[in-house]
Amino acid sequence: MLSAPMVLAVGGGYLALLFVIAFAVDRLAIGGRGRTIFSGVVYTLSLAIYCTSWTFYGAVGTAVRSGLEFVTIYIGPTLVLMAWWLLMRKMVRIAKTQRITSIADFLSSRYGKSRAVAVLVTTIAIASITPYIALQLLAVSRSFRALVGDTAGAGADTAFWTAAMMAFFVIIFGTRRLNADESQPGIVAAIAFESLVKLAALLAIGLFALVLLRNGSVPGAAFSGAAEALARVGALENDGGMRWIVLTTLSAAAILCLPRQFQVAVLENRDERHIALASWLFPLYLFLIAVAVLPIATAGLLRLPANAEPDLFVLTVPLAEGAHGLALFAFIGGVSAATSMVIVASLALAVMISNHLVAPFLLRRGENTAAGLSASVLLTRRIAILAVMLLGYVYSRVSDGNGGLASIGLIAFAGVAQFGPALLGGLFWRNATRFGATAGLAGGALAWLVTLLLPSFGVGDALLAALRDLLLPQHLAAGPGAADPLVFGAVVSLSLNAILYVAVSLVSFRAPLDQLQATLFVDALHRGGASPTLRRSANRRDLYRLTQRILGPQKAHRMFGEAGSGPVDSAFVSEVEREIGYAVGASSAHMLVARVATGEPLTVDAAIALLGETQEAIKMARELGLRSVELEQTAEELATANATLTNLLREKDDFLSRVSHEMRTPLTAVRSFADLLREGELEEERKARFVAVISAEAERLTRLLDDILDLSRLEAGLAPITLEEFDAADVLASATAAMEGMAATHHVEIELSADRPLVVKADPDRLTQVIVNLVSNAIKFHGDGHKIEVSAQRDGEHAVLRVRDFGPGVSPEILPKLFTKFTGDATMTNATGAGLGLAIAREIVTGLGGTLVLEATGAGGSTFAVRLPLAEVVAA
Amino acid sequence: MNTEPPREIQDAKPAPRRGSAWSDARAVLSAVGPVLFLPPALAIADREFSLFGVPALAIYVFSVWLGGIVLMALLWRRDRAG
Repeated sequence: MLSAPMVLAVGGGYLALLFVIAFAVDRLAIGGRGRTIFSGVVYTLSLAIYCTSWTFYGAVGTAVRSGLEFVTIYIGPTLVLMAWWLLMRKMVRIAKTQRITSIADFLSSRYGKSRAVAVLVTTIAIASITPYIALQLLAVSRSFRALVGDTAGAGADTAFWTAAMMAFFVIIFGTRRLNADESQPGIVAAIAFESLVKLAALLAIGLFALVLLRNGSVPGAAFSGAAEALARVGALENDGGMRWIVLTTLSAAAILCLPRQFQVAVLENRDERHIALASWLFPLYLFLIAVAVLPIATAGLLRLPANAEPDLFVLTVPLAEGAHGLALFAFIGGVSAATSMVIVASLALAVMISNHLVAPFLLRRGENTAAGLSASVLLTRRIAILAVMLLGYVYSRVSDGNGGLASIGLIAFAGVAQFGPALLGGLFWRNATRFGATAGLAGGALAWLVTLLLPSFGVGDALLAALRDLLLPQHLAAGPGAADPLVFGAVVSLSLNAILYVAVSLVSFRAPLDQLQATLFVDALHRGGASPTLRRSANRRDLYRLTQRILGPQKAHRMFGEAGSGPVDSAFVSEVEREIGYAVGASSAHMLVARVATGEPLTVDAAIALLGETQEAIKMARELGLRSVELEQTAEELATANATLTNLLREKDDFLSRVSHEMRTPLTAVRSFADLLREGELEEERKARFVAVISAEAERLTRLLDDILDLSRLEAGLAPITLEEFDAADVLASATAAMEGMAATHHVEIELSADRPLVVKADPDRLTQVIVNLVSNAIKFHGDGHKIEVSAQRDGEHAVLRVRDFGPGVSPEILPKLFTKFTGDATMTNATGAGLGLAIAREIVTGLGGTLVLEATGAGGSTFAVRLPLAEVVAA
Repeated sequence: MNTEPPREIQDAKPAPRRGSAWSDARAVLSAVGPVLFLPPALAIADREFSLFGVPALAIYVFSVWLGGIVLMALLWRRDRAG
């Protein structure tokens, strides 16, 4: 055992250290150096006020009594933190733009600045948090008694003095200023420090306990072997499934809904990036706390008498081993856990009480005060803090010893979980109304009161029993195997809450202000530009007077610049309303400003137009995104089209240069021979030869121009084509016969074979032109065999005309552009054409509904094939 | 051959795609997490096995928990890098 004065001195010294830290950080923050202190780590540590003395001491107790169930309290928040980025970023964004002061303010603001919602939330918070504060005070006094070995008397005083010091602390650091942009830097720094201390203390004791496990058990302990003790601590009760789910859900709701969590996570957030860091660092904190619980619980079961109080194992394990320093450290850790919770919870409650319960009366009464309302608001908050502390202390005195507070932690979780449906629904469901929220909160709170809170004080047991009989089947209602009271209470109250919330929201009328606030909350993350505001105008002087009254002359002057008269626009009116809201809450602020801002009454039409504008803006932003994607696609298409055009242009240039080249050769010949003739003095024989050459060249030119004209007409689809039915074999024979002369001059033999009949529907003259072209090409490239083959065959529903030579084949370079104008190979051009022949032939065949392809080419020769549909097929 | 796209394209194009992939990963994680802690999952993990006396169920709960934390931390680091 330790001596009481020594423990008091250490405890008192520790609390004094907290004052120093808070004071120093406050000074730094006033000096503008707050930013560097408040990193994401401090934000994360401040979230750890979640771990109160109830978890610091109670987690080990739960592990001993119910096994692994204790981790649910930490797993719930871990799961919420995984979705933290989406959820919390939205809440922080809303709280910043709407000047939210508490969770009651948040919900009331969402539901059309409803007073009813604000009062309900505040009442539920007081009802669940005050006993919770009492539990903290009780934990401090009990742990003090366990440490000094006192059985009564001094412990209760410890609770009182702790409460008094905490009230003093919160009043000094929490209610000094009243400005929207200033949170409570001193308090945040102090609780972050406390979070570090309690983690370090629990880890140290966990490590100590781990070492102890090797020493085995002492006589009279609950278990004799480490394995059995661990199995007890690490096991889940057989029918614990439902309880597991409910506890996880309640603790998940608590991390969002507890007023103190809202205070540190939302209101004290200084940078949205901190949220991302906390989403894994805070779960790690919880993980370490939970891991430390295992060895402490096991060591307690092995090293302490079987009747030792498991809730105090954290203290008694080191104490029993004579490690007094460590026991004192554990005590300080417990004090840290208790005081940080008490500080923030009482501050959050005081703000809610002053804004939502007291401010309306204050405003009515103080209609003519000149000095401004700031002072009275701050005074109200101070009184509220004292009242909450006193209430907590009285609770702890009344219930000390009767064990009535033991379960209050979970009951408080179930109480604040009633905010859950309205909170989540408010963030994501546009159609939720104030009536739905009010009904859900009221119904849920009533059910919670009857099923959980009153029974915990031993009141209204008969009512509860009747309710259980009504709702549960016989075997679950009472007797052995009955449903767990916490599970029953939580499920009934939350279900009733959610059902009322949804059902009433669906059937109730959505007031214009409801719709406006719903839009502001639901679309908080993808909103750009100005927020929609109610269309109001107010006299500048009236508004100035109001601001001065609430916020004091200094602040009013800063906001208005110079006071004058004349109207101000609706955006400014809304801005003023938000600023005033920080002092007195959104609903009171709305009521106050509405009195001054006479402007047009908000009609349903105006509200719908307003919402239309917002949704239009969102739609436009989305469309802009889409349009930029479309633009990108268009740009790509344009680039492709440009490439194609450039290609075509180059082809045209090639074509022109080829045409001029082709024309120059005969023209040069014509000119030079004409010059020779003009010079005269030539024999008749030579003269006649020259004239013949000139005539032949002129003829070639004409043919070239005819070809070009022919091709361009074919390409444009203007060439006259007369269709008639005839035997393709006849055309093949006659065309081949016409080429016999040319073949003879080249010493080439034409072998002709044809199936008959091959009746096609085509233009015989055009087909002749094609065959003549192909045959003349074949003759030119006949190769060594001095032979070409021309054939006509039936192939299914087509007539296939083939012309085959045994020449060297088409060279690979010109193969890809064989059928285009001027294939580019000079050897292909000759007296009969300028390389346009194949291009014309393909145009013709395509125009006749057939195909012209090069079937084979290579060292063995080339085969061109014309494929035309047979007449009966065309007719069919 | 240098196949790297020009710098400005590198900077401009893949960034949003990567960002959405990470936020998808986050969404998947926040959906899978609760499932792994449902009683049926716990019932599967609850076996006779134990390590240094620690029962299988406790090992399962704590390792899944730590795994989730590590994944969240990795996502956070990617986010800061990208």
